Amino acid sequence: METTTYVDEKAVVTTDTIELAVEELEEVIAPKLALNRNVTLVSDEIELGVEELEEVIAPRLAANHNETLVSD
Amino acid sequence: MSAAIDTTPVEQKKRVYALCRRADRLRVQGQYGQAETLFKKALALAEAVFAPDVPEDALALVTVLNNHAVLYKYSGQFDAAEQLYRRALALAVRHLGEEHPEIATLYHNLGGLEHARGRFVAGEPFARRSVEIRERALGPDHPHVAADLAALAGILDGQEKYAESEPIYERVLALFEARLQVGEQDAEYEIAVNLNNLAALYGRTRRAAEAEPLYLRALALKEKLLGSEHPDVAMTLNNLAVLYKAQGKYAEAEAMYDRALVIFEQSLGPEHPKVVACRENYARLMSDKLQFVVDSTTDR
Repeated sequence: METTTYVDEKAVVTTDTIELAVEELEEVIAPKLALNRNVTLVSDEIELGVEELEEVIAPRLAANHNETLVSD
Repeated sequence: MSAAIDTTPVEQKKRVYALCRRADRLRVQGQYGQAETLFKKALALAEAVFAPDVPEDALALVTVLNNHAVLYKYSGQFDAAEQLYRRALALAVRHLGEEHPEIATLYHNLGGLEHARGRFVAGEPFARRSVEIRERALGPDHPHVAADLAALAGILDGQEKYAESEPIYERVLALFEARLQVGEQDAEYEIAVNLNNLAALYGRTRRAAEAEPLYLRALALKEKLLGSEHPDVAMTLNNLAVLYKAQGKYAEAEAMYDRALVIFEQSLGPEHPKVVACRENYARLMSDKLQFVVDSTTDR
């Protein structure tokens, strides 16, 4: 099954103590509008039906059978 | 495991149950590879979410361990099966004690594992213990007791104790036939397995005429219940081939082996003990057939 993760590239600045370089401060170009990317995360999840997942009946303890295979 | 992310423990437990139930169904259908993948996931998740000290959780873990082990037995991974059964048994005994019917199932299965390995003497005490526990808990006529007895009979057969196993098969078949008459459909599979085993016993004790109709009914039942490509179908085809060869019906035997081998190799792979046994049987048939032709030519 494939799931999709949305990655937002916006940096979150929580402090005003970040040191900025002189060149950065001198640039007058407005920042570009950032685009996110839809990165596909491949997962090994097994697809289970809603009914399967909603059942709360525990599986039964299985018993095997001793069947005879005849050798010649 | 990624399944554990972003879900509550209750959802994770439901997922274990769902994976285990799906894997059980695949195992019954003979889809052993797919069942193994699911059981591995179910067990990894079960070990992460179930607390072995909490009785309810422990018993859920026992079920996953046991059912995974049953799959390993059928797919021929006997040592892996034994490890899981031993873990399941230790955990179950800790929470249920030695006399609980669930413990009987674990002994039943440990006996079955030794049967599959051909270690019949080692399997007999497990099989007898399962009958003893279950009979005490459920009474002698319960279908689960009958299933334990049938498993014991298979182990006795392996030791050529036919005088003991034959009446067990007859009793068990009568009980399951009666259950089927009252509409219990699960009884059909039990009937098919026990018909196959009783027919094998007849074949080994030189009663070929009695064996054939039993094999044919077992085969028809299995094809109806499991489809014509199931490894259990191949078991009975192999046995019929052995019977036909013993009767000198080489063409019929060859047709049965042909079909059995195709099914076996597709479902179990070339190295599974059942596939190896069937291939060796087939090779003996071809060798004997060739010898028969040579002898006939020389006699002319």
